[in-house]
Formats: sequence, structure tokens, C-alpha cells
Amino acid sequence: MLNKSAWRNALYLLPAVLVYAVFLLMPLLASLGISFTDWDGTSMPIFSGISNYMRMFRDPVFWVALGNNALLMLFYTLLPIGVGLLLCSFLYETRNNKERSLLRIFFFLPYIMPMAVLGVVWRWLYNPAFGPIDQLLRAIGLPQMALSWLGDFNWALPAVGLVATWYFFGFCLVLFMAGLQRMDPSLLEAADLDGSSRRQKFMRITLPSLRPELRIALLLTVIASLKAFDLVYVMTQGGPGTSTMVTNLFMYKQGFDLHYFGYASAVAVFSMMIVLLINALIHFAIRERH
Amino acid sequence: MCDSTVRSQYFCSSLRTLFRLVSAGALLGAAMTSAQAVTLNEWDIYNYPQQTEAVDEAIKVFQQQNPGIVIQRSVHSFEDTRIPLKLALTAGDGPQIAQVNQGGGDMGSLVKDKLLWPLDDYAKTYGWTTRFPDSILKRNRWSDNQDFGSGKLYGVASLGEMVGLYYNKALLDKAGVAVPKTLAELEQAMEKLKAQGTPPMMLGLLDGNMGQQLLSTLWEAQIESSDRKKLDDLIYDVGGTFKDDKLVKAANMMKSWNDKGYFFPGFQGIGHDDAATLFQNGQAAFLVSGTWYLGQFKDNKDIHFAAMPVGAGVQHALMVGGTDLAYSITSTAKTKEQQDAAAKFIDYIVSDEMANRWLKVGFLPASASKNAQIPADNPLLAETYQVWVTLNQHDGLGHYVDWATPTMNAELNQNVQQLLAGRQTADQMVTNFDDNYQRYLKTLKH
Repeated sequence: MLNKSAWRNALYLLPAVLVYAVFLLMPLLASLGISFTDWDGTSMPIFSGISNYMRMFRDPVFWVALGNNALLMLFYTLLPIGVGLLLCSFLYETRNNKERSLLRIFFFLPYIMPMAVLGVVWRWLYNPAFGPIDQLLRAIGLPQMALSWLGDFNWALPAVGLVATWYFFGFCLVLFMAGLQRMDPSLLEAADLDGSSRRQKFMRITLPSLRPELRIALLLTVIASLKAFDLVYVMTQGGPGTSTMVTNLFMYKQGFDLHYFGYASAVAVFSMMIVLLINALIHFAIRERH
Repeated sequence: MCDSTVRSQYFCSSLRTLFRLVSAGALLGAAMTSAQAVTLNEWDIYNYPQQTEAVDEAIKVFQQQNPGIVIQRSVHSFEDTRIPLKLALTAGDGPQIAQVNQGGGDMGSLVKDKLLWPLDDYAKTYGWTTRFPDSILKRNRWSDNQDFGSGKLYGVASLGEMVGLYYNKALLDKAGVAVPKTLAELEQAMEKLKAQGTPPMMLGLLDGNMGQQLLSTLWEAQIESSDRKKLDDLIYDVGGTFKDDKLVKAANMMKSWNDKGYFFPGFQGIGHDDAATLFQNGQAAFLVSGTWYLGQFKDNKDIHFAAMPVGAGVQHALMVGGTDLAYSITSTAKTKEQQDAAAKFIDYIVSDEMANRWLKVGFLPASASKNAQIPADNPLLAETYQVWVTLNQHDGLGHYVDWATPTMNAELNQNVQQLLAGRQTADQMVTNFDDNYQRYLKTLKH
């Protein structure tokens, strides 16, 4: 129950609002302000209007980065959700509880590690000289397939993306499992009695009832793909060429390597608007039905 | 603040006592360290254990030799000496002596805001201009019009570094190959090694700057040191063009080495430090890289360092390299006394005595000392130091090409990756470099 005094309520909110304001709203507003200036981080910022935004729209590397973010969505969102759903329907059928929990734990394990650590591990796995993947390929007589994965213009992005798939599918799986447990089993029983096929049950009953979980999974993985940074930073630094450059890494390099803080802020503000827009679209597309 | 409650009265009186004790202590301390004691704060980035020990020892000895001067050292990371240093100096505090990164974004912007003192008078007094070749000092020169590489001197560096040819003697002997002195000999050696199944040249393109350093090295190996003005002007942003025949030739050389399979297999997907480790373990015969790997390689007695093989018709070629961050006197050294003391300290940090201390712990001092003492258990360092001394006798220390513009580092790395993936020609590559360069020159307003 809310207290009758609005002031007192506001007082209770204050600590949270304060933290939120200091660590989120203020930096956000500051970025917005800085994005309209030329600033090297130490001198006084010089107002430059929308020139940073104009420069960004003309910068081919920025568009390459944005395109790579879109491609990464395949690996951050579509694949993990697809694999998660598939494994989830398989695990749901598994009657042995112990087996099911054990598998669930194994699938979820990558998610508990920081992405940067996964990046370091996978960079080693992909290493053409001493990485186990290429060593295995050579050992089974496929030396022509032992590529330098992260250094290849065609393979670098999928190679980085697959690590994200591996990271997120367990998370999607656990989310969907929880959703299934909330589902009323009598629905499926009734469908069984009516002679529905497995596919029909999945498409007509399971999938629609997972709607809230799907929305959460979509939201979180899409946001993760748009703010992809750590994996790319650790594994390829955006290379070879710009084949794995993403907007956040582009922003980081412009800001912290080159000290073009105004330009970097413009990229950050634009990226944030894209995240907000896509979030709104997802919310709109998968509404809760009452 | 001190009101009448018992608790805060007690608190206030303890505070007062503490204050009195502290001030008495400070007075006593000041009285004990002689009337003219000058205390200087110093920032450096020597955070490796051996480096830190060497500098601590240097400060101790310096203070014994100069009882009137107290150096308070604080060690920083490289990043910490950039924006934080400028912020501290702008606010009017910060160190009186600091290591400052060369280049427009760092030393250039400090000079522009008058946060560093020119050192020309001290350079004359202490003979820095005779002890260091021009090519080294120029990196710390800025004119009053903000021209890089000319005008007043704003710093002197203590350590040097250069990119040269590491080779594995055991692998060369096995293939019956002598240490190459020219690029043509290097190519013949690599052909022979390749035929015998030894990967000739180590490289790692995944991260870092190994690829661009090989390109720059092959370029500068074709430039006679007496004919260096064109390159100097290019790097110090006086002007010029990257559309240079020798650069195109260097790029085509790299491309042909790749086509002939001279590079270590999979080099595109190997990081620079991994490449160095693979070379250290005898996985390839040659590696073109910098003296920063000396410490890592010294345990493999097969590994040696040589001057980069030179291009056709070149006697004393340039070698890519530079110094570490330069020691500068900042604007917070307000009195003449402080500035004199700071200069005295800097002179000690670049002295022969300090050079020997650096050599003892395995680092390459920037000055060419006549009576250098190199530890007997480190022949690799001895060879390298000899190369350094000879190089500087001919004023042959070249440039890291990425100094030319702030965005050139990424431009070089990305283009070398494209070149070796067969996605662009050498001519396209130098055009990209030149576009980047001319664009930057236009933004420089004097």
C-alpha cells in the first residue's frame, strides 16, 4: 500500500532515483551534450552543431560496423533462440529428472562466465598454430579446412558470432524451460486425445504459451548484439580489415584511442536510439495478450 | 562545526591535537632536511618490476649525490600519463617532472597550452645535444607555431627501441644459410629455408602492429640515412606523399613473400605476442620485430638480433624505431630552483651511469654510452646494443610510420591485412595511406 503523503513516497524513491540519475541519466545527458561538440577530453569542448552526426553518416566504417551489428543478430539472437527452443522441446520430453537437470546445467554453464573470458578461451581454440580446432582438422586429414578463422575476411565474423551463440543458447533454454513448467499440462493432454501431431502441439500450444519468455529472450539478446564489444575487442579488435568492426568498438576507438570524444558520443547517442527503437518494435510486435 | 555536545567536543579536541602534532612534525621534518631542500614530484611509467627497481635505485643514488633535492616518485600506467597528466597540470598541481608521450595529441597539446618548459638551455649545459643524435631529439621538438620535429626541445628519453631482424642461428645453420645483410640475401635465405621445410618468416597479423612494422621496416631499409629528409618531413607533418616507389616496393615484397609461402602458416589468425612466442620456440627462422622482445628471447641462446638487411645500393639504411616517453619539466616547477633541480635529475636519468643500470636489468638505454657495461650472461642484449650504437652513429633511427596522423595506426594495420589477403594491390594501399595523410594535413591549422 502506498503512503498517503506523496512527499514521503518520493522520499522512499529518492535513493534509487539518485543512483539512477548519477550513474545513468547524467552520463547519458552528458553524452548528448558532448556529441554536439569537438572535445579531446582535456581542453574546453567547442560547440560544433550537428557536424559529428554528419561526419558519422558519411563515414563508411560506421556503416560497415552497423551492418556487422545486424549480421551479429543472427548469431546473438536467431541461433540461440532457435537452438534453445529445439533443445527445450527435447528436454521437456525427457522424463528422467536427474538427467534433465544435469543437461540443463551443462547447457547453461557458458552463461556464467564473463564474455571477455570466453573470448580469450575461444581465441586460443581458434589459433591456427596451436589451437585444438585446427589441430583436430589436420589430424583427421583435412588440413585444407584448418583455416586461420579469426584472420580470415569471410570467417572472422561467424567465428566470433558462434561464441555468442554458444554463450546465449543455454540462457534461452533455461528461460523456455521455466516457461514450459508454467504451462498447463492439461492443454497438451487434450491435444493428445484429439490426435494432434508433435509439430502441431509445438506450433499451436507450446510456442504461443512461451510468448512472454520469447519476448524477454529477444529483448535481451537483441540488446546484447547491438552492444557487442567484449568478444570482438578480445578476439579480433575489429579486424581483419574492418570485417568484425561493430559500432561500440568503433565508438571506443574514436573516443579512447583517438580522443575524438565528441564524435564517439555522437556514435553512442545514435546507437542508443537504435536500441530504443528496436526495443519498442519488439514490445509492439510481441504484446502480452489479455 | 564544533557544537556543545560532549561527544563532538571530545572529537574536536582530538582533531586539534592531531593537527598540532602534524604541523609540528612537518616543521621538524622541514627543519631537518636543510633550508634549501627542493622537493620534486615525478611521474613515470616504469612499472615492470626490473624497471621499477632500477628507477628506485637511481633516485636513491641521485639523492645521495644531491642532498638538497628530494624526488617523490609515483608510477603510472601509460594511459594514466595522458589525459590525467594534462588535467593535473591544467589544475596547477601534478608532477614537476613527468614522462610525456611524444606526438601531437600528448606532448604537442601540452606545449600548446604552455604546460611544459623548453629544455634548450639545459640541453646545452648538460650536453644532451651532443650525446643524442638529432634523429632522437627531434621527436621531442616543437616550434612556437606548433610544428612537430623542429624548434624548442621539450623532453629527453631514457630508453631506446628499434625494429630489426631477429634470427634463429640453429635453423640458419641447419639450412646452410648465412645471416643476410641485404634484402636480396634475405629473400635467397628464405627461399632456401622454405625448400627445406622450415617456415622462413614469423608474423602475427591478428592484433598489434607486427604487420605494419614489417612494412615500414622494408620501406625504411631502402632509405639511405643521409637522405632521410623526405621521410622526416612526411612523419613530422611538414608535407609530402605516401605515394612513394620505395613504399610500393616494400608492399609488393611482402605480397610476394606471402604468395611464395614464406610467412608462418596461419599468420593471419595469430596474435603478435603468440607469434613472438612461436618464434622463441624455434618455429620460424626470422622475425622482424622490436627490441621490446629482448627480455623474452634472451633465454633461447639460438636467437640473435641483427640490423635490418638493407635495400639495393644502400649503405646505412634507416631502421624503424624511437625512444620511450620523454622526461619533461612541467609548468608546476614554478621557481628557477625547482627547474634547475628537475633538469639535474633528468640529466641523471639519461646519464651513462643510468644507461649501465638499464643494461644490467636487460633494457636498451637511449644514449650511446662509450663505457657501457653489458652483463656477460646476456649476449643478445650486447648484439642489440652494438646495432643501436652503430645505427645512431649514422643518424639512422627511422620512424614508426603511424606517427604521421592520429588515425594512421588503424589505417596501416587494416590495409596490411587487406594486402596480404589479396583484397587490394600495393598501389591501392599507398593511395589509402596518402588520402588519410592529406586529409589530416588539411585539418592542421597554424
